Amino acid sequence: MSVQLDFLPRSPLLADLRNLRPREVCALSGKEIEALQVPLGIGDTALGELCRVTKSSDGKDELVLAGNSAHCAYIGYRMDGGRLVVDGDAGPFVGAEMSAGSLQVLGNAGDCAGAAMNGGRLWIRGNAGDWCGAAQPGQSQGMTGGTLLVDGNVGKEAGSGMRRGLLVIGGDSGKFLGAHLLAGTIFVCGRTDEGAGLGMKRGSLVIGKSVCPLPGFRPAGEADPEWLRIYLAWLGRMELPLPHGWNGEPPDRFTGDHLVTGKGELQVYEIIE
Amino acid sequence: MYIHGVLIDDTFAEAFPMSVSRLIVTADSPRLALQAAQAAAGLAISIIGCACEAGLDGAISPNETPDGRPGHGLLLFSYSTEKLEEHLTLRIGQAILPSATSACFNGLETEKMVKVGGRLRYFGDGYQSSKMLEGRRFWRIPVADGEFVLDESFGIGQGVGGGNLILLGSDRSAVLEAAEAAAAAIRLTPGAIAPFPGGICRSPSKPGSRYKNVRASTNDAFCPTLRSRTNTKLSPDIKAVYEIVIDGLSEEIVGRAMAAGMHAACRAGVVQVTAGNYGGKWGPYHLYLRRLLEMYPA
Repeated sequence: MSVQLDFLPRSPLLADLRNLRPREVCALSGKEIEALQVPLGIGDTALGELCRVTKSSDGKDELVLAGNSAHCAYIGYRMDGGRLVVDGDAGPFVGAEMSAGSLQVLGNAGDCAGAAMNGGRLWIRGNAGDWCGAAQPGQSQGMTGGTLLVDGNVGKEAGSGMRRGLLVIGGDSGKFLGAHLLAGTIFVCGRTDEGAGLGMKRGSLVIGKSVCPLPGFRPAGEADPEWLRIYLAWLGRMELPLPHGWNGEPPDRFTGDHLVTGKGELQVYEIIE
Repeated sequence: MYIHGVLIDDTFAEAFPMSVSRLIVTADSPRLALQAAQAAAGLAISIIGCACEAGLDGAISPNETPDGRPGHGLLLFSYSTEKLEEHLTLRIGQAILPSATSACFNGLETEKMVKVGGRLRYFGDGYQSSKMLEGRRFWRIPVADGEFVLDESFGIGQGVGGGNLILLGSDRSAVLEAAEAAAAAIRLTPGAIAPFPGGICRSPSKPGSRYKNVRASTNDAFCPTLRSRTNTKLSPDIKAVYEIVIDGLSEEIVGRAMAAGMHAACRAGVVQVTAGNYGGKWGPYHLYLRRLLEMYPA
């Protein structure tokens, strides 16, 4: 049983959808869904006031959010299974702390997308804001698992504090990509701004184009492409377009940040001025 | 029943459950992948003395391997999960890890997973690192031509071992040719191996011996030179006998491989095809030769 929520262009306030989990919502009747209380501004309001609810037995078993979904925060927050599709843009904190299931945003996502997620797959087909895959505000630990794919660009500090998992950015990233990375893997197919890997302890950053790495990074020759091949083969199977040349010459490898442990690695296909 | 003039005995091969793993060995070229897989299959001929039986399970194209390089399948069988785990660690660590440009991946998804990469990583002496992709952990061990990458865990499932064919012939070179053809046909069956050298065994054994410390000894009933001294199973025209032992991922695969082997072996110079069993008392799988030929025609 699938459920579609068409959000009406009624409220300029962010609706907080942290209590809507796909499997639980799909098990409810239309009336029960409309009666669900969601935080809006300083109070709560019935979900039926914000959107039109449609139930269908198409066998897909997924929750679809459409319409004015850009005014919805915490979509898929702590999601622990099932399928959720945002047919449009998503507000901040989409997929934050999710642990399982599949969440797909067909448009853009706001800040803190996939913050502190620890499992499942979040796929943003447009751009994402700042702190994508990073820690929740006030916390230090970013993603601890799962897979976060962004087809477009992301803002600053993507993947900062990440502990485990995979973050793939199809476009460009802002400053301080993977800052204070503890472990995990980040791909940026486009270019990054300065500060990538600041204070990283372990883990891997693979970048298409980057300015000269920070002083805490030491050149380590050409990267061994073996593990990279596994990831590139997987990305190919996911039908993610890889930059021309990524399956050819291996990237340059730097280890760092030597101001911390030096056990991390930065792999860059092209250093730019 | 006769096929091309060869008598197919009305009997069955008695097979047993065995623990099995499948490895995917990759490298920069198909030759290097094959070389590494062959090295890992070394001296894994008979469970009696080697505790492990192994064989190649076909070439794998780059678009089917985890790292997009050419690969080769390798099947390993043993009598227990613990013994197989020991052999996986030994053979991957001693044969595949040192092979140029190689990597090694799990090729069998099962409930029972054992940590092999999780143990071999210590060869990295603290420089090893891991990568986790969608719940699957790979270890990266620095080596002198780059990194050796392998799965942390490998699956151990239940396979079937001890399928067999015994070819009896009136001419040694002719029956050997038939045995080679049968072994080649078995190798083409995915999921099946014939672990003896070239797939052929010239020393079929019987359990026990007149010597108390010997677990298995020559099967005198099939030895042409002993026909005057023992309770022989050979008619006067039989000059040579070759056995083919077959292990597979399932009873069906072993049956298919045996049928393919029989079809290939029925040619001039071969008088009879039979199979070894213990009267059906030991092994739960009874693979009847004539029934297999009906089920899987040429």
